[in-house]
Amino acid sequence: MITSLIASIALGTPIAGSVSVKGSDTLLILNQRWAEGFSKVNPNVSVDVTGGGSSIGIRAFINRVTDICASSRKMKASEVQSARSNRGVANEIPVALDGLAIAVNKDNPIKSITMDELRKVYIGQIKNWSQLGGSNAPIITFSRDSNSGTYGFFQEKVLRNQNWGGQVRFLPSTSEEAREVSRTENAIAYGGVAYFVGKPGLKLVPVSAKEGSEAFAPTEANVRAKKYPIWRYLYYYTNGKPTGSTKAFIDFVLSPAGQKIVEQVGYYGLN
Amino acid sequence: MKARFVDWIMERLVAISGISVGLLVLSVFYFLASESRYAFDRKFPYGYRIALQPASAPSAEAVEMDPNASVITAHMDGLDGLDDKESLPMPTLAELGGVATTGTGSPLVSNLSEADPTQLTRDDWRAWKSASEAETFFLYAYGTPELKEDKVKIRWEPDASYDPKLGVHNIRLKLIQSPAGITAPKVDVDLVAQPSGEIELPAWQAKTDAERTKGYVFKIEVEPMAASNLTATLGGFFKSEWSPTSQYPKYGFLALLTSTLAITGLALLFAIVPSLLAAVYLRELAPRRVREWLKPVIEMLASIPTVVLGYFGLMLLAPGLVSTFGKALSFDSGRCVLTASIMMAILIMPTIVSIAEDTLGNVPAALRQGGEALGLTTMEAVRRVVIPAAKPGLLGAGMLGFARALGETMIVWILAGGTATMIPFSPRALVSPVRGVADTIGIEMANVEFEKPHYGHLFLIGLVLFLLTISINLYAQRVSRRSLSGV
Repeated sequence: MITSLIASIALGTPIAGSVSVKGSDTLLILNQRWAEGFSKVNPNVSVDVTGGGSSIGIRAFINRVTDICASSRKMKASEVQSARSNRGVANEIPVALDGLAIAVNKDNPIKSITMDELRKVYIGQIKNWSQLGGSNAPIITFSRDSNSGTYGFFQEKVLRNQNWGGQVRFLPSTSEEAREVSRTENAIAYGGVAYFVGKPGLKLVPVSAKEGSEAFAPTEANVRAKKYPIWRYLYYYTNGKPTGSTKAFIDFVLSPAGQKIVEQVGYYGLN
Repeated sequence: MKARFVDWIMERLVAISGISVGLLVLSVFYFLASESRYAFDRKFPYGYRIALQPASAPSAEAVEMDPNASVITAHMDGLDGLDDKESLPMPTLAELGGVATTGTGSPLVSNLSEADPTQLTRDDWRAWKSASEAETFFLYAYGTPELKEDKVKIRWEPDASYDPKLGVHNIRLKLIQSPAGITAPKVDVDLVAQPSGEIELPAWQAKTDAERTKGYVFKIEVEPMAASNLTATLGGFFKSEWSPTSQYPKYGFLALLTSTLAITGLALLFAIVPSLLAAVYLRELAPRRVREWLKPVIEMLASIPTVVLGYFGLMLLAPGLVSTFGKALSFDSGRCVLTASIMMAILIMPTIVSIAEDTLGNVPAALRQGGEALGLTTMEAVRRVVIPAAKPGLLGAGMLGFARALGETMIVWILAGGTATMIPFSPRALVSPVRGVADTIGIEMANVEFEKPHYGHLFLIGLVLFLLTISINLYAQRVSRRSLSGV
């Protein structure tokens, strides 16, 4: 990297170098598309994208082994503190807007679900679809595992930090969740909209904020208007203000071209 | 002369290699044990939500739903003091006006005389403490001039995901000051024995903001129950709740261990009979040409990467089991104990077959011939002479298979469902989702903060697994040796 920097200074090219992006699986596809789009404009910068989950990205950020941490949840106070003790300053940059979709099998008759019902399903208080107006069958709950930012976000936002029920199955990726739901009649799962849209065999359930209020589907308009209750920003974290090739990459991500890629992948741009 | 020198070199090399392999095992053990020490840096969080409410407020509604409830807590995100996001000031009478008729606030100090009335906050989030540290919180509770009822009630409940029964502290809620002119009943509650509840008190109104501290004052005393951090950590370790990333981490490994033992035990049950029969066939009945290609094929099974076996199970076995037995056994997902243990049985079969076959081969020919000389058929000789003679070795083969399965990570990770809950003691156990010891290390090591209690606990459970596996291995070897030395 140093040699390429020297070379770029010598040749007078605007930017060269490498940027590492690590973290959220929710952001993985998006990161890859951004990296492709960016390298078309800046062939001298290599963008190195890895997933694994937000917690893994944040851990890498704290240990200062990645330029950018991609996270589908905000950093916790304790994590910001850990970074600080490693002389890192967490600089938070929202890069996209996402709705967290609730998916069930396509044959499930259920019409909508409230936030409170969703919480009770995942903490194990509601165990049968008949309690939600569905057929008399046990609810098979799927979740992401604890490496996922979506897991952390869901536990905080929907479970209100309560413990997961004893029958929740934890899967290593959202695409596995999608597959399980499409082939398991009584399943329910949650995940970034982009992973569920267009997948055969499953349907997305409209969610209402509380009992009696209107339920909204996770469409772009509803998420943007914050009518759909389970939405979040997706974040990049850099150590202090970004500089050099990292700054160039983030500028691209936030540019109209970068935000267009967001829409193509299935999330929602910031504007 | 030259040959002697080569011998000399060889001898040394062999000895050094032998000792190094032994040392390697010891150093793995040392590494696991030394990293486990971080488990004992554990701190022990606790947290309650407390609210003052008019007596008519519905008791069925969680205290959490009261926007003016105070949170008294020591946990992961608590710094000493509050960060910007969480620092809400104690509500003023104007803020409560038209919204609520009661409020609470906390002085964020352990000594009431240090309390600065201008610095009162609604919540009191402290950094978490070791098991032997005591702490005191204070809570002011007041009504506003709009409070019309003549009774109020103090209500409390544990913070979400905090289970007082798993904690290591005695926590008491006491009323230490009543407003002037009011005689209140005595309040002294054991918050561990009674994690949520309410007590009625006579109503009292603060007329001005300055008077908010003149009403009821409660003291929350947190006292250590465990003798030391070490005993508290071990106490937590020998419990069944495992959720290290929750706000109130729990590191009980019994559910993980039980699941591992259940999957492994079932796998052995499925694998042992077919494996032993296959071994007998290979050694005693198969024509030499069949044996010559069949044994390597069976042993090749052992070289299939376990991740491949895992995905084979996920793609074919799991859906197959659900569509065949799903209705009858009422289960919907193939990610469960049964699927994992069947794949595990396939994994350990080659180990058992191969070792059992060797053991049968080691039965002295004289014994077999003696049997045949007495007029026994081949099968009779196998049943009455060879198998009894090889019994310890066959047992050893089974145990080595068991030990192989204990440490298996990928199959359980992919197939068992990843649910860290205690397996039910009923036939439902077969179709329950679980999580074992080795796969927990695999899943969680990726995002663990180094040299912290969670990291230490992952090594601690690794250490337990290692000791278990190695002792079974050693025992199995002793047993087999007994059979090799000729009954």
